[in-house]
Parts: sequence; C-alpha cells; structure tokens
Amino acid sequence: MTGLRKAPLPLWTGALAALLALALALSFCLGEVDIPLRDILGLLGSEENPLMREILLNLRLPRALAGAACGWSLAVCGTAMQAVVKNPLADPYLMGISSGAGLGAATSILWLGAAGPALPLAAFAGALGAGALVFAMGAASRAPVWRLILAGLAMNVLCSSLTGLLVYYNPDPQRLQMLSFWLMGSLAPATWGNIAFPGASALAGGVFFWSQSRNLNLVSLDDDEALSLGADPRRLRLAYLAWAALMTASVTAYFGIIGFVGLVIPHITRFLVGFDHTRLVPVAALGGALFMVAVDVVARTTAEAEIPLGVLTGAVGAPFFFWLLLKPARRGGRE
Amino acid sequence: MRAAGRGGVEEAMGKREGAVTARGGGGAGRRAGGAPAAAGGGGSPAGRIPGGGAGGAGGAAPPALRGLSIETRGLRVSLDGTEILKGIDLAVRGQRITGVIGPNGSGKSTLLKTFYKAIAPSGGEVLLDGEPVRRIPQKALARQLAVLPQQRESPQGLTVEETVFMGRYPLKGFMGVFTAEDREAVRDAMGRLDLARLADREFSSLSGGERQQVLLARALAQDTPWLLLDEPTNHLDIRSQLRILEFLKDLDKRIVVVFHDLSLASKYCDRLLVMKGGLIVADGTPEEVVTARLLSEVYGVSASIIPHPEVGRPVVIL
Repeated sequence: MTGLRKAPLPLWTGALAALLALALALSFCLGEVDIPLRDILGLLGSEENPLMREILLNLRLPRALAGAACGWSLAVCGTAMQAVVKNPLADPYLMGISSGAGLGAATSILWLGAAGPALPLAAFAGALGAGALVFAMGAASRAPVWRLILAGLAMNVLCSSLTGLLVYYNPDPQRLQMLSFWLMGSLAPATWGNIAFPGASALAGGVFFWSQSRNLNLVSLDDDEALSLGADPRRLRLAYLAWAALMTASVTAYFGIIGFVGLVIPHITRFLVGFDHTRLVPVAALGGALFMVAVDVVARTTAEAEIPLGVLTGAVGAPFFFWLLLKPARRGGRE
Repeated sequence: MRAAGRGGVEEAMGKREGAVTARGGGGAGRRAGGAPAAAGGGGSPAGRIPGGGAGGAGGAAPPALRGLSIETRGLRVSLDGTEILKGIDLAVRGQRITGVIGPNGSGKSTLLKTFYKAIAPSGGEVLLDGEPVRRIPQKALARQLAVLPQQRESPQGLTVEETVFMGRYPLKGFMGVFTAEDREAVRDAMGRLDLARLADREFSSLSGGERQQVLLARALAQDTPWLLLDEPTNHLDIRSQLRILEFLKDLDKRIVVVFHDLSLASKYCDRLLVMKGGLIVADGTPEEVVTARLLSEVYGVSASIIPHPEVGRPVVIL
C-alpha cells in the first residue's frame, strides 16, 4: 500500500486518464445497439447510416461527457467539503444543494409540467438558493463548522418536506413519475447544449481546487494550526464553499441527484494516494469521472429498462464503502 | 537570511544583560510579584520595564535583522462578552526562552494566539519587530513565527513527512514547487529530531511524545526566528518532556512557551511572565518570580520552594 501511496502523481493521472478514455470508448460502443469499436470510425466518416451517426455523435458522446463532468465535479467537491468541514462524512450535498435542487425540480415538473429548459433552471435556482441560505446561516467567518453542518441538515429536511408537500397535492401520475426519475439522477437528458455549462464548471472548479491543494491541506487542520502556517482558514472556507456549491449545483441541475459519488470517491482516493491534496484532488477528479462513466455504461446495458443512476451508484458504492470501513486499519498502524 | 537571523539573535543576546540589569534596578519584578492587584493596570510598571530597558537598542537594529522583539500595548481580548485579556503590556526581547505561567483560564494561551493572529484583540495591539501584526499578511507572519499548538485531532491519512513539509508552505508562493532546498530543510529537521524512521507513519498513529517531536520538526522546517509553544509538555511522560525541553534549550531561536509545570518552567526559562485573570501579575527571572508567596497569591496553594541542587533554579515541592 505504501508503494501505491508513493507512486508519482503523473503515474496515477496517466493510468486513470487511460482508463477513463477506455470507459468513454466503451460508453461510445455499448448501448441498445452495440457497435464494434473498429466500425465506429467508418460510421462517423460516411453518410451511409445517418441514424447511427446521430446516435453516436449527438446521444452517446454528450452523455459520456456528461457522466465524466458529473463524476469529476462531485468527487472534487466531496474532497473539498471533507477538508473544509474537517469531517469524513461530508459530501457535496452537505449544504442542502441536492434537496434544494429537488425542490426546484419538483416545482418545475409538478406545477409547470416542464421538462424543457425550465427544469434545469428551476433546479439550479433551488440548489443555489438552499446553498446560499445555509452559507449565510452557517458560514460566518467566526461560526464553528458544526453550525454549517447543522444548517445544511435542517435545510435538507425543510426542502424535502416542501417537496413532499408538492408531491402530496399533485395527483398527476405521469408528472410524479417524471419527478421520481429526476430525483434518482440520470444522464439521459445530456445533449451538446446542456453539457457545456456543467462541463465548463467541472473544468474550472477542478483547476481552482487543484491550485488550492496546499491550502486544502491546511484547512483540514485546526484553524489555529492553519493560521500558524500562513493560511487564513476563515476566509478560505468561504471561497471553497461557494465554489463547491456552484459546481455541485451546475451538475445537479441538469442530471439530478446522484448520491454517494461525492462521499465515496474521496475516501477511496485518500485510501489509495494518501492525504496530500496535491495528489488527492486530481486523482479524485479523474477517478470520479471514470467511476461515473463506467456506472452509466452498466446502467444502460444490464437491464431492459435503464437503471436510475443514483440507485446504481448507491448500490455499488455502499458495499464497497462497508468493506473499506470494516477492513482492519493497516495503513500506518503501529508496527 | 539565516545568517542575518543568527546575527540578530547574538546581538540581542548581548543586550540581554542590560535589560535584566535595568529591571533589577527598578525592582519591578519583585514589586509586581508582591502586589498583583497593583500590577493590573494597563500601564503598570511590571509589564513595561523589561521592554523599556532594551527598547532603544531594538529600534537601532538594521532592518534586515529578524526576531528582535514581540511587544504588546494595552492588549485586550474579549470572547463572547467575557474579557480574557484585560490590558497586557509586555516586551519580549533579549531573553532566549520566555515562559508564561499561570492558573487555568488566566489567558496564557489567548495571549500566545494574539501573536499569530489566531485571535484578534478587542483593544490594543501586538507588535512584531515594531510592526503591528494586524498589518502583516498571515503568510509573512508564518515566516517569522512558528507555533507548536496544543495537541488535538489530526486529519486521517496525514503522514509524518507530509506534516513536516507543511512547515515549508509559508515559504512557497502560489503553487510553488518544492525545491531541493525545501527537501533538505525537511530532511534536516526530521534528522535533528530523529524522525526519519517514522517518515511514512500516519501522524494520528503516533504517541503524544512522538507527535510533539513531529510538530517541533515542522516548526524547524519553517525556519523562523521565533518559536511559540503552547503547553508543549502536556500529557507527556517525564522522559518525553525532558527530551523536548532539552532540545529547546539548545535551539537557535527566540522562544515563548506557555507552561503548566512551574518547576520545569523555572528550570528552562530565562524569564517568566505570570498571568492571573487576564493580567500579568509578575515578571522576572525564575528566582525572582517562583516564590512561596507567588504560589499562594496566584494559585492559592501553599508549597515550599527549594533551589535546584544542580542549577540553583527554584523547584516547587508540594
């Protein structure tokens, strides 16, 4: 294990980038119609089969990239949140982003019946609204971190009950089903038009948090300690929370609530490469993207009907997480 | 920069005698010790005299010298409506190891935290080499003051080597890569504290004594003229306590250390500040300060004080 943890960063990122490319290629080939990789270039190059070409270019490719953007963003935000609140249970939805987005989506779907451009806008507004309220209540520069956690918890409860209320008073089964699909997360809505924003925010946020990796190391320590090492955690925390909220909201608005990725990927990454965020952030970003693209391939290909993504990430992630928790702590234990 | 820092220390060390003499002449240490209440006011002589003695000398030093003085002027701190520090005037310069002692809740740790801006004063200010710390950016401050904090939880997965490397962060610019010099400083610091064998161990898996050594190595890697320590011997067995203190004794830095154990403070410090209720109530050499009278007035206990058989410093016998 120490070998893995000492492996140079380029080796990690190189290997993960290669695996990600492989997963993207698989995602490109597999689906309702399987296309052998060697035929793909031919299909793309000719006008013979416009339908297949359309599927490849305008459905599968944006969908694969959307998966990468989601996994990347959630893993990076989870890593940052765990550092910021100094708590291994933190995830990107800690600030009420998910339930805020859910409330926005419920409003849009149940009231307006809209699945078009109104849905992501409403979800984004809900996510940022909830995030901003939690931020205002719990992130004042002198407030202890637990206040943020509790404010987020309360916000999640509030938004969920409001969503419940909307559901209770709306008898239209079709709309309810639409909402329940949205709440479980899906990459199906991905198009070239709607991956631009989440993709850009994933890239920008990834670069930002990587550039902050030493400060992320410091904010994981006690505040006094971080201060004595030249970082002001009170100021940094606010910036990190705002960035994480924006990144999470922008993927959640389009692709729904995809649980567990933002919690589990940072832990697995920490287990593999250690604590240092200069390694943790890029490896988690690539690992999250890889995990999500792979899970989406499974979601699309194993059953007759597509399995909701959030269900699958939870079903795959939770048992792995149990294993990680229960296995004896051999890392760095006393000899 | 390093050489200049050393020069500063030596020069200021030379001035120490002057400062002590001045204080002895005024009899301030004893006076303050005898009358805690009188020493309470913001401008009381107890706080000022040592600073006053060497004040001119410090100001005349070339600007390149680091680690000349830490001063506070009328320093007050309130937390949640409670006044923790009630007007502290002090100057640390010249003395190599300055100890801060006093009962629980007297404001010792708070005082130390105002030095590195972990707590903002509600009144008065802290000066580092004559410059108000509130005007020094946090990172620049971390190149002057290294801190050994009180022990608390540490994040999961953090190794010993990574911890020591953190000492180099303040010396690095935005995304600056570690150079051979940084790695050398880390190796050197770990070597001096005999930590090479623990390099890949997780910090949270270490014993209390080992943790303090790691944090001390981190402070060394920080390469600062000042080192502030907050109860560095708490929860340590006697061997680990002595190991840390003997190491500090030979260290080429200005040291301010908060202590609980009076006998240890007396043995290792050149000057002791005694705090009670947010005020400095006595200030002087261990011989001047650690007396049976002080113990009864500040701690409310009666104990005997005898001189250490070898070094002569006062030892508390309970």
